Amino acid sequence: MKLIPKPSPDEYAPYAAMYVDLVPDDGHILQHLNDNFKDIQQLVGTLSETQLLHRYAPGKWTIKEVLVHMVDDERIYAYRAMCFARGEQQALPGFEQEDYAANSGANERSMESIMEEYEAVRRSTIALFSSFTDEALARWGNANGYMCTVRGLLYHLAGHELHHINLIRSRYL
Amino acid sequence: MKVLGLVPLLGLYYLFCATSARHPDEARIICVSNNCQTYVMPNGLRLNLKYAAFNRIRRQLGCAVFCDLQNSADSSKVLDRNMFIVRSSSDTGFTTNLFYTSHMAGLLLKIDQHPNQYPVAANSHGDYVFSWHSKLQLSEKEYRNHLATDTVLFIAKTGGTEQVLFKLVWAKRK
Repeated sequence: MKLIPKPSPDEYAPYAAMYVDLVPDDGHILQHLNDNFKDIQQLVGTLSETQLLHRYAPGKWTIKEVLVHMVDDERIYAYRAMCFARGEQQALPGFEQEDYAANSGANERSMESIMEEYEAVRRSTIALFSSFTDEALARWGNANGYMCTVRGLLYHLAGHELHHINLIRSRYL
Repeated sequence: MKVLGLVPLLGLYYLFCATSARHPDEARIICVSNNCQTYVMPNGLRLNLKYAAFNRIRRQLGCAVFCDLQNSADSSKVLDRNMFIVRSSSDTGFTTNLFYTSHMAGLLLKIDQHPNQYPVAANSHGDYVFSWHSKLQLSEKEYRNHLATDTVLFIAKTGGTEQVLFKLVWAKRK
């Protein structure tokens, strides 16, 4: 798969460093995205419905809500990347994850349905970023008030997924 | 002449202090239940939520929830401040602040410190503020990162169970 070097810290929102730092520096980001999906499939594939709907503290999301949040996030970041790569000059809006999670209906969905969507979004994300030239990957745009590059968004979304995988392992299982 | 020169200096100093005072960062309240704007405590006291804010004071993340506290009963009631806690999604630990109010006594501003068991007179209502500060100290950048990613849960503890009344997020995050 295409090699995409890690962006410099000014290429993503300052708060995203906590995510980007989790991603290996080897440039094989698309391969990692491909492999991470398989890891998640294995991680959640064996869990019971009770575990998938468990909240480890009041107000926390269930694993199903976390998974749908990850899919939402990836779709939004991929959309932003597509816009920046095509030269979008307008600032793109942010989104409130708590609102999205509350309205996702994740807990009423089957795991098959969630993972099917997850896989489709992941394939779409890899296909999109594979299509970008080096020039497109270095283009800038404004989303949610932060200036970032296309490759900065890619590392952000990949690191965000790793962050949640770590949380699932440490808090839920 | 020297005394007269002090006047504009003091004026500038006052202006600097007044304009450099930090504004709180407005929080957006996200309801967990249908009507989280009003919470009735087991003893009948009613909390009407007004607004909430974050701030960074003494290098700590501060969180405040401003309410109207109402006692419609014919007898006085006690609000137990310890009944309410906050917890963040990043598991930042918080310590509850005392509740202070101020009033003018002649030309002097007096600060009153209230007990955590706060008495509310019969058939009365008034402003009440819950506030907390983080146990950890944060740099400005760390504080901004918290605002960008963190969610704070406002929780009522009743009868050994915890009920999340609402969530607080930075209003500009959206």
